[in-house]
Amino acid sequence: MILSRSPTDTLRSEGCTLTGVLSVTGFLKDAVTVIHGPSGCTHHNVSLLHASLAEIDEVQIPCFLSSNIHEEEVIFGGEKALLHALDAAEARDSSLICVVSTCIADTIGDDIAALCSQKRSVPVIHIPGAGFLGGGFSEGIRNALSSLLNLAEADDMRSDDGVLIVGEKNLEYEVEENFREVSCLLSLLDLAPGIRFVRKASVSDCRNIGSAPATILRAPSLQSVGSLLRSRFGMSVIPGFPVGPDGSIRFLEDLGDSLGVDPRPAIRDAEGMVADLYTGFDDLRDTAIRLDCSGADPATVSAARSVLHELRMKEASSGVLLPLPFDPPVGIAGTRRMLHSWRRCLSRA
Amino acid sequence: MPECVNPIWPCALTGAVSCLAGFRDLAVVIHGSSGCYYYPKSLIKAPIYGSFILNEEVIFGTGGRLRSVVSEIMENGSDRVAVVTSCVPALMGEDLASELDGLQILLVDAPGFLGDAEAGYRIAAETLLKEAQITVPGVNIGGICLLDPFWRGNMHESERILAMAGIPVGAVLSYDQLDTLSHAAPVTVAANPDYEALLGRPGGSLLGLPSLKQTLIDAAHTIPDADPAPVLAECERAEEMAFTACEKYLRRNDPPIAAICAQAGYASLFADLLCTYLGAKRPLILPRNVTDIPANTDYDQIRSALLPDTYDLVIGSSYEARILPDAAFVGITPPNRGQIMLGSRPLAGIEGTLHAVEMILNAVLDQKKKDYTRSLR
Repeated sequence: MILSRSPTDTLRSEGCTLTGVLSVTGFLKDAVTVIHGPSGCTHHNVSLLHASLAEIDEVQIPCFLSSNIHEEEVIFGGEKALLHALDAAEARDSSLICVVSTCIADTIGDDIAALCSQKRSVPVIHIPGAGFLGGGFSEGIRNALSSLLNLAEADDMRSDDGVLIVGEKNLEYEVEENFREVSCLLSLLDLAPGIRFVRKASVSDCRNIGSAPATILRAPSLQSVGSLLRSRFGMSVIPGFPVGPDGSIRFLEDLGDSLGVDPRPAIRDAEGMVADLYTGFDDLRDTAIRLDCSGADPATVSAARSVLHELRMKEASSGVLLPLPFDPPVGIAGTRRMLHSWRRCLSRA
Repeated sequence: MPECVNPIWPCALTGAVSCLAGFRDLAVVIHGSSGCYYYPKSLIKAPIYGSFILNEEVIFGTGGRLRSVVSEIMENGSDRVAVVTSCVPALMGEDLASELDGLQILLVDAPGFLGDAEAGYRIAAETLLKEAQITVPGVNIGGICLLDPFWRGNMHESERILAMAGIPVGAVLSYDQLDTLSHAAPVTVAANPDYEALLGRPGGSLLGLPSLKQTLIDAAHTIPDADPAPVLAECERAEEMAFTACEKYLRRNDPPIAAICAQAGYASLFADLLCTYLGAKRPLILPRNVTDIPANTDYDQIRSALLPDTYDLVIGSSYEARILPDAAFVGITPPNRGQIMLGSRPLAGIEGTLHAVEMILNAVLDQKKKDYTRSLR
């Protein structure tokens, strides 16, 4: 096995804050992101997005403009390079410029906030993105979403029927499938998703997020962003996409209650869908298995155990080792995909 | 340096790590934050360690953290460790050599801001090769880099043709054991001249049949029992095969109008093949790395250079394939998303030339078929 030779491989390993920021700003349709640092930092992320988007047949890659600092800027300061990059970004006819700092820009001490506050024809926001300072990939996502919240109009009193979806994992392979599952559950309550903050959203969408009746966060790790939405707009906040069948029922209950919609008919429909799901995997009943829980999200393990219980599958040390999905299975469709992978494993055993 | 939109070529750190990671008994540590670790780790299919520094270490010094990572690696059985510094530790100015005193460490200063992957590879090779000793006759094989999709094929093909000519191989740079650096040869021939490792005297390139023939003749002069004749005979046969296949294509088609976005050496190889065997006009070349002309790694500039004209064939990476979706595509430059390459296919040597001609012809023929199918709809 060549992928890991030491525990040092997994220490402090959450990933780069900059990547977290760019996984948000890169999905603002009419914005340019300026990355203040060496071009290598930008290249890493362009390459990652190119790979992720190619997997889902997206042709366009977002516009990331690097200030491209070299040894000279490292010695004498990189503010001039950032100004050039900002001028170039301004000339690109976008609606917003997001400026993201990197490790090296923060270490040499460029005053990025001051340069971003200079008056321009396009609004400029500064998002901290230094890899070693910011706390990793998830913090980068939170930094970006919190900064973009400042675009929202505080006195937006329009009411919108669409539920705000916050913090979708844009680099996730199943991102659209998960969104569709949430949309499907919302439809049981006669609701629809509204603005996707931020996935294929425009800057004007970001300004209008205050008009949504409620918010669904992609994951509980975005709680701080949820708190900001609650305090600024008085929105109800559902703390994460539903995980597994039980989570789907709770999701409908919570969302219905928070919006004053009777959730019982939707729950009855969802229970019917769950019953159909289990019937479809009747062949797995009474099989002896083991779950591969190493490194798994506790929510995934909990959802998997609940499914095992419903299907009366038995955990035994001699059972067939079953994989768990990297991210918790979203809703009923996500659970179905997990069960399919279990079935494939069992048939190969 | 001017700003750059969507840069599409790796930094010096990545190049340096790719050079060192080729030595299987050398543990390589990237001394930097997690972001500087994951990208090289994802590209270079070899074990790599990271120090994953955090803000307190950047403020109070990274030496302690690095020492603990290196010590742990050594406790786990690695005798030799190379540490490559990324941008932040490089500019902090710490005396890492003192911090690591008593440990057998190779320190390589290759922060990303120093340049591109080729620059980093060169820096790492220079540092590593200070230890090399030229003690055996023969040639070293250079230009082997784990970032190159064709490195394994190039290495096997280089070894094959050198063996055919009776020329012994010294060290392989960089895919070898450290020990071989103590028994290196006085000449280094390059399988991919853009990954430069100066060990002894440069002995020419193995890219393209004309260079290959001259390189083998020159190398054979330095070895008493070497004989390049079998290689030269195989070159003749390969040329015949390439001409025949291309002539057949040209009976029904015009020479393709091509654009090449690749490292300078590979770009030149493909340009020569297109002109020599297919009678094509000299293609547009946008090199990834700096040579006597500037590199072109800005996605927007590449797009602007490609879009105004019509091309039958684009040779490059999946970035260019996306810019020109209606052109035939040959993927020789990383990344090559959407195509799987598991086998050891070369671009260097005789098989490399045949493989390159084959890739060109198959791509243009496939595109013709696609265009024809589309016209029937």
